[in-house]
Amino acid sequence: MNFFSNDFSIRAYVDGVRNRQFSVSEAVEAFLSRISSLNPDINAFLDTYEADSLKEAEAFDRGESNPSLPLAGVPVAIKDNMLMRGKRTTAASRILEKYTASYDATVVSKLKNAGALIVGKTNLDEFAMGSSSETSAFGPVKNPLDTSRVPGGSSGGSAAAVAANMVLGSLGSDTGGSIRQPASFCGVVGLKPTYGSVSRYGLMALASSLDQIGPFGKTVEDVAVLFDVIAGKDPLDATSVDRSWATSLSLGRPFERKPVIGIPRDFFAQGIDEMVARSVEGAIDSFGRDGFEVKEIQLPHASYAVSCYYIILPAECSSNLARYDGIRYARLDDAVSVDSSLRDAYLDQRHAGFGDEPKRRMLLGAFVLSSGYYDAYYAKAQKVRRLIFNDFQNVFDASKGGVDAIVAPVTPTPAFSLGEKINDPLAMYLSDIFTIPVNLAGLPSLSLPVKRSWDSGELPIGFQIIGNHFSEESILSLGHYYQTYLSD
Amino acid sequence: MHTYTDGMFSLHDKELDHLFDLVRIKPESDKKKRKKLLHDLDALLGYFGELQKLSTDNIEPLSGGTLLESVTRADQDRVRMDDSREQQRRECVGAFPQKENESLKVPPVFGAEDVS
Repeated sequence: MNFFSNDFSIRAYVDGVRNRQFSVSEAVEAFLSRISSLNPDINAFLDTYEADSLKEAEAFDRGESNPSLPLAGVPVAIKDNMLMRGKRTTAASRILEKYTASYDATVVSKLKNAGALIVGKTNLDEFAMGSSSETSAFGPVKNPLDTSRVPGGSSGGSAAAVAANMVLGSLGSDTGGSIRQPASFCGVVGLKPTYGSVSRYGLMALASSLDQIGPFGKTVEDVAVLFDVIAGKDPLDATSVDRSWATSLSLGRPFERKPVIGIPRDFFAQGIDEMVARSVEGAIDSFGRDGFEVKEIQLPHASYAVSCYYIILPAECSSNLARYDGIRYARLDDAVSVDSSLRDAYLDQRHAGFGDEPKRRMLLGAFVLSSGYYDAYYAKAQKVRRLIFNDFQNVFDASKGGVDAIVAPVTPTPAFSLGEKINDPLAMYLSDIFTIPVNLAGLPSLSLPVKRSWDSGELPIGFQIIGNHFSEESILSLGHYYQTYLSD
Repeated sequence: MHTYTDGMFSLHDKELDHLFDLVRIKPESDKKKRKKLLHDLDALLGYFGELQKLSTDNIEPLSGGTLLESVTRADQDRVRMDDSREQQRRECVGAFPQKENESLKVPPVFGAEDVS
């Protein structure tokens, strides 16, 4: 059994377990050994749980778990900004280096209940702030397809872990593109669900009005299976919405009518890499040749999204990160002098505990919220957010002949080199120009590679399928159709 | 005060210290790092100036991810299904870096200089 082939999916694994083609112990051992051989180079994992995973795998093989569960014995990983009871949870920050979670995030409970084995926590940009996974306090993640390049971010570890076949699936979080952009850079599939589809209980908040948890996988089908497991109402997250999901069952069903696809032509204008533009155009053409109606759409305010987002996000994060005082979440037990004042302890702990990027964003947040600048920045950005939201609603409006889905590039360039943008925040922020509008409007979007495999030296390129609120089933079906019938 | 001309900002040193104070982080003392930080913040605030070109008269601000209303539940004492509260409480207390009995021990709220 080749567990590490790019074609070996969650579906194939679960079938293999049920048909007793291999034992879960044998499989988990193989994945753990692959992680330990590749991780020193890729740095996708911050922690792995060998003993726990093997114990769970053995219990599975003894018949103590139900093989009909959707993720029976499947090795998965979660981004280290999600809490898992008894495990260190750092958000890749020094300030949480010694913090151990005392409860499970809802997505973690759901994965466990679905039979998954969580083999470790993945590396990320510090507090999910970044687009390259280079701001991690524990060293950058490298792109498994070209280790001189970034895997994208902030969920770079989760994307790299799947791309390097270290696990079969993983979870990330997407606040401004942090699932879709690394999926695109690493040549895997990633879903940013609708705001409200997945519970954020136990996810460390970055920007509460934008954050969503979503899955990575090698195929759209795997991503749909993971999404069905983690989605749904949670009494512990008031923003989660009461819906039942079975997207994976709808894949492959014939369309009642072929969805109408909208193309935001402006996304292909100046500044986009020629190869990216050509590849995404190629994907669009293949939909057109297959009989899908493809039409151009306008999102007139999308070009303001980066400004809007980098006002709203810092404002929210300066508030959300206030709780990390270096004391409550067990940072430097020996360095807090009880002779200093509490205020000085905060100043010192936060100075030493946070890296440059969280500091820059908190300072920016404090500025845009401060008296005198609030209206010009924060209030203005919230109004522009409404305009961006309205643009999408117009495009999807059926009464005005709207489209069913939007197909667009995920990023202006393929994976860039390590160190290329780390000292230029604005350049880094602009790499999320096509993903950010989707978060501001709370929409779901699926990022998938334009083709199945990449020649050596070739960099993966993805495209995104954006749908209206709670249309995960439609965009996953469309993505699955592309992967099954249209992709090279 | 910072100055605003043609979308170009210039945050001042004193303002930067004030922002550090607002976010409760000891101000950066390294001159080179401060200069870089001021430069980066200026570049970003300058870039954000593009929003001022947009007319947003009569536009309602949007604060959430969807138009759905958040629901709130009645304030009842509830026990989580899978975990006794006592166990969770013990684990939280167990995670305190410094404690006295069952309380989190922190430096005094008022330092010597504040009292004098």
